[in-house]
Amino acid sequence: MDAVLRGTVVYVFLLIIFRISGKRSLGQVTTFDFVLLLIIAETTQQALLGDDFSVTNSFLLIVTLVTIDIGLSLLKRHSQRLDRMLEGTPLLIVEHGRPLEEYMKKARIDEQEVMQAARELQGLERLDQIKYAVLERNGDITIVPKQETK
Amino acid sequence: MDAKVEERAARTLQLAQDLALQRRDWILQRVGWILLGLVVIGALLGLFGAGPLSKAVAGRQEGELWVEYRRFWRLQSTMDLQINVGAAAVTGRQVRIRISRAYLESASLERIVPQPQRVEVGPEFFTYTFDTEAPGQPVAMMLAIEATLPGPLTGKIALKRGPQVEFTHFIYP
Repeated sequence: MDAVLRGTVVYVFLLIIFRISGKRSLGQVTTFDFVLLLIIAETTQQALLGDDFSVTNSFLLIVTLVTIDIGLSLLKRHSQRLDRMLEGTPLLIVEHGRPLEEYMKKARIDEQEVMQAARELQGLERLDQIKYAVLERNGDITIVPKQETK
Repeated sequence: MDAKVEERAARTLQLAQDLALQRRDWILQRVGWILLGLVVIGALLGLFGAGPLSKAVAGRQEGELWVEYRRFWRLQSTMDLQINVGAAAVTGRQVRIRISRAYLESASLERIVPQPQRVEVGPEFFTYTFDTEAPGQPVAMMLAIEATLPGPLTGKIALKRGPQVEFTHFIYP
């Protein structure tokens, strides 16, 4: 019983924490973010296992976590609302070369990050070559370039 | 502005934006940040364990009997408890302290310093007897306690034929 409760509580807690911290924490992981994630994993592990290091306990935990995950993914398929609540929605941040400043500020994205994505993904040089830039639900920025008319 | 952007994006990009929800999200996020900050400050102050808010004394300090305890502590981690007996209450060569059985049932007594001379069991209380160096000197005993159940944990400590103090810890899971 303990393992299931622990697993559920930790799952929900982490879900809330990562949702609060915002998209920026998940996309574009810097080296330090990565280290932070490792520390979080290490810290969580102790709370999850408690003082029971048996194989059964760890199996029960894994089963609990995976079951919740499957259950939620099924629920999300049924309810678009729940899906949007848990995963967020994509956000348009550049439209026809014009940055939508307010959204970018709220989403904690700056122009340089958009340009970085534009260079990486499309080899673009300037903001006005971007038709659309979208902050996706997983925190990535995707770019639709303007069609060059020659 | 939201509705227009949303409409244009949906038409040309097939992008399922929901700016109303997005805005709610942002507000909740900022509320969440404040809450996280408050948790950190609370933790520093001792709301979840060690810290000034957690330190407490039951009974009258410098009286016959007072206990220094922690208001907030956590499951399965050791907390200190100090039982103080004032000079006025140390009359003979022995001090006898009673600790409620209910308390020791939901918390394990990891350590007691110094070791008692004798322990007697009763239906409600366990009585610990300590030899003292000389009468008329205040003494103190240090206990290390580990709570085994979450929630409020009430202890009663008394002097044999003397005052009794009662205190409650809140144990976080």
